[in-house]
Amino acid sequence: MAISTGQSARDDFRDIEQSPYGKPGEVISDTAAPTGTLTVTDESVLDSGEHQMTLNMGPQHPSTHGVMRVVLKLDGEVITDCDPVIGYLHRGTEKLGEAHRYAQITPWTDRTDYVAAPLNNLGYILAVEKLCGVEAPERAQYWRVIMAELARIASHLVWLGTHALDIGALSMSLYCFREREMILDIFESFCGARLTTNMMEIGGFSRPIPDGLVEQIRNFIRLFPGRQQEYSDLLTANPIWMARTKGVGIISPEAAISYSLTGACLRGSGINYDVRKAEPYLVYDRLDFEVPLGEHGDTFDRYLVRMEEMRQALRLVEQALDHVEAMDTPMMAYESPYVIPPHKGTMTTAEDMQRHFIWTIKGFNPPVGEVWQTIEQSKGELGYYIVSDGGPMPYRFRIRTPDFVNLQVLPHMAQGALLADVVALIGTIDIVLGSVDR
Amino acid sequence: MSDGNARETHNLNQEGTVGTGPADTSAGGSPATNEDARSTDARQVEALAPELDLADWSREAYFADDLERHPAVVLLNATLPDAILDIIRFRNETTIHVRPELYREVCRTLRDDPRVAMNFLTDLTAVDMLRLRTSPRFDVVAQLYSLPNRVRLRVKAGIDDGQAVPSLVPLWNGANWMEREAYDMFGIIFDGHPNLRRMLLSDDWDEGHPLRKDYPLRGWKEFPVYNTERTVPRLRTRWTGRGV
Amino acid sequence: MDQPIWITFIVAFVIMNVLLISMAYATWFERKVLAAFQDRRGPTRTGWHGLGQPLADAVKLLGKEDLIPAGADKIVFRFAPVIVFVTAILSAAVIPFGGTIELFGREINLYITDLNVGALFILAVGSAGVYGIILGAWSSANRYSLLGGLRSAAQVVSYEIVLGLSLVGIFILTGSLSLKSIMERQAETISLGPIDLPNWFILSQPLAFILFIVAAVAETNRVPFDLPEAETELVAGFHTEYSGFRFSLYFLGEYINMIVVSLFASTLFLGGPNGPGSDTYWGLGLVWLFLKALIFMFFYVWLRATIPRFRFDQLMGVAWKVLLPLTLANILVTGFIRLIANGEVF
Repeated sequence: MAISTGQSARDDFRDIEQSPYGKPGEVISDTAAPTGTLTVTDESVLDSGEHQMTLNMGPQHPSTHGVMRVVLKLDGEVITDCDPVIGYLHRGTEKLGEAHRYAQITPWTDRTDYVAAPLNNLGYILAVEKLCGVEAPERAQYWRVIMAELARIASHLVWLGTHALDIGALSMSLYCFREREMILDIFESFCGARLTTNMMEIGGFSRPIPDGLVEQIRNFIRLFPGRQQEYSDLLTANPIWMARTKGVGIISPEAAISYSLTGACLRGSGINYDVRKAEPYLVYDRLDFEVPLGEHGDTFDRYLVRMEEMRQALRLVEQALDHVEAMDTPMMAYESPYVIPPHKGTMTTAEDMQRHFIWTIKGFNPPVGEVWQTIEQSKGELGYYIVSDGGPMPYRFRIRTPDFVNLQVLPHMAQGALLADVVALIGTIDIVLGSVDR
Repeated sequence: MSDGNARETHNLNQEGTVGTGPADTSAGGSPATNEDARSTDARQVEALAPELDLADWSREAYFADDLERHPAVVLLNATLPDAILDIIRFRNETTIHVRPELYREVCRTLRDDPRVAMNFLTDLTAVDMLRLRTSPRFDVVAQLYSLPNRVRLRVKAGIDDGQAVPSLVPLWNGANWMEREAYDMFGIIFDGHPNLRRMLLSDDWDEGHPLRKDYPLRGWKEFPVYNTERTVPRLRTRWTGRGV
Repeated sequence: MDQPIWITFIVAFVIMNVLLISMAYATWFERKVLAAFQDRRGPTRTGWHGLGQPLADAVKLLGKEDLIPAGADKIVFRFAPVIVFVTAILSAAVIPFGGTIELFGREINLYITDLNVGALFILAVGSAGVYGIILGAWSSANRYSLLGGLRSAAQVVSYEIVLGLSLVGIFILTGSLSLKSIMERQAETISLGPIDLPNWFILSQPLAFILFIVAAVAETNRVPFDLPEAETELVAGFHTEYSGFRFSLYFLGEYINMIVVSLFASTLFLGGPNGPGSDTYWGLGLVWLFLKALIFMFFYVWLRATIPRFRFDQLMGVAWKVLLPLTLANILVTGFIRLIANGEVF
């Protein structure tokens, strides 16, 4: 059954029409019979109206933060219609998850939101632990908090740098990446990788904490507040920055709920929902931190919320580090059958090596059931939905990424804005296309 | 006892927060489009309220061993008596299976009732149950969350291939892209969706819906490998229209 | 002072080459200063402290393929960058680099020509340069370029007025539009009791100086007024489709414009080559002029490193709602003071 989908704006469109594999917009499945109208019709390719111009922003554009395309209709510089087109970085992570054993999926979660990889690991690992009924030892949980909050700061630094760069503050991006480098160095010391860390493991941490890591983190904690104050001085009271962000992209609290926004986009509108407070996971209920809320729901409020979140994250790192420094308890819940057997002895005794080998090759069979685990990721609520049929691989592996859901508010915000605002709005949603497209 | 308890829980959870924004979140829904629909529902709920006055709306009821005590179940039994097909509890998470044709009504009731107030749609996706049962084939899964009560609820509707399920876009704008993704990945048709197109795959994707269980991991057809010595004859590809 | 025409040609040739070389090193200067602002090093690999970088850039730009989009208006597309480049160079013709000097037994003027409407000439040529931007943007058949061209037209129309009017105060005080007489006027000294101050117009026209600087930044399309080529929205705006040598003409034009505006500002407000010792040694005057222009160049880079970009509507708002009333007020006040000084009122 042929359906009328929006035409492809690709250059090779005409060639596809003659291709043996069917015409664009033709869906082979009989079940496809969507109803309703389309927001972007053929008019997006051919200009219509006397005063309107269609501008195809992306997928190669410096301010779409990756391969996103935004089809804009402009009346002069005023936007009358906006349609984000995503999927250029779709890698089928959910389908891949169904073909990998539980412990093998962790690296795939790195590649969804690659600027906050430890947080993605954490959400997935917590989901599997919930499914299997494993609880990591307390010390490992504190270390998870440390790494997660450092990743949150790193992610927010990328957001701040690129957001400010989009608005024209050139130097901010370099300053932010300088500090992010320090966090990546910490990750490198901790697990050996910088970007796609694959850091968390089911049941805790199987490797010891390297020497000097605590000093490295302490050094960061000492340096960062001053640096962040510099960013604040450069932007917060800057009249041009305020003119570019205040009153731009206002989301009312009702609209924020209706669009299922989470993270700073929701809290910027004044709604108090932070998963770390609402449904505490790890040891967040034992740590002292505050959830900043905005008042007006505009871009400037979301900027302030994220800046404050960085300060709070640093507080959390400091508290968790104080707790964990004196601890000398195990880091891994080895007593559980769902946890990888100890590495110790794999090179010397046959039994240990066999146990380790079998676990790695065959995986484990969790109970039948389904779990939904959310964490507060740097961009919002990151949810993992795992349906288990008792086999070594998930039956259904769903990632609810925050920026995919948050991005759909862009047309709502862009309505009536100026062209220059669109880059500010994309920045304020804080998207990573790997996470949007999965 | 009913409303006060929920409110109290909410306040407890607000502990240690800063900012003075409007924290009252009980009114969900899209701002402009569903105004009339919501008002009629509100009237319905008000009319039913006296019968439900004796029920337990406390937070404990959401996690009680007796699944029939779950406030959402109590509410649905009173308002839409034949909607619930099954209730499951696993790892402290409650799942309600509902009739697909009442799917939107169920969600609307849960959203608009001031005591249950499942006003936040966290996620909407689908599961292909092909290998687990014969019929119905798909489960459409909505993860609801109550911002005032801080509880979650999973609502499932089982549908067969080709059967439509009511769209939740009239209730939450956020359902728009999630439903488009479910259509894209599973071929599930959402009745009443304003703009049901492919989301992540390209508009001219003609190979069906990849997250179905009968869709092979590597797709249906062979794609030519680029940048290698050409040992096979040239063939036209759908990507370039030219020989590789 | 009259001199044989061939000497003028030699002076013009020297000035043009000095401009081109200083443009090349203006890019090096900008990179280095920006790098210092941003906690990095800038070019280091080509020569001592990357001093060979401009040459490497030139070789790279000249060696690139010259692309002309299929939908472009080819004649206009080829012609437009030349307008920008020529007008930028042309405005240097009236800048005085000093008075008349004795060299090899001849009297040589350190300027190409002393036009009696020199200041007006620079403004006129500067606004003619925007045709290069608009035509280039229009002929590229690219929507980003088109938007950049439209922004540029609107921006130049608004800020040209502010730029011109901010100078009226100086013209009132000098009674001349010739840059040479403005320069000579500033070489005088005013005595305020024990202190001797140079008669630089930055002291008598401080408001005009600020307004001029703001408008000049907008005229040269630099941050925070770089809307025609906003990288993050319009992807380089009017020169999106230009590459190779044609792009480098735009590039040259922009930097020469910056240098000329810096020299212009130094001449108008900071006394030009006037400084300690400049009366006795003409070479010292050139050094002073160079250092004064360098201050403005540094200011350009400083702005770029610090502040974000305006939005289009805000840019127009600043020009028409803030700057224009201020310039008019400045003219009024200056005119009154002049009238009082002449004894024509009161």
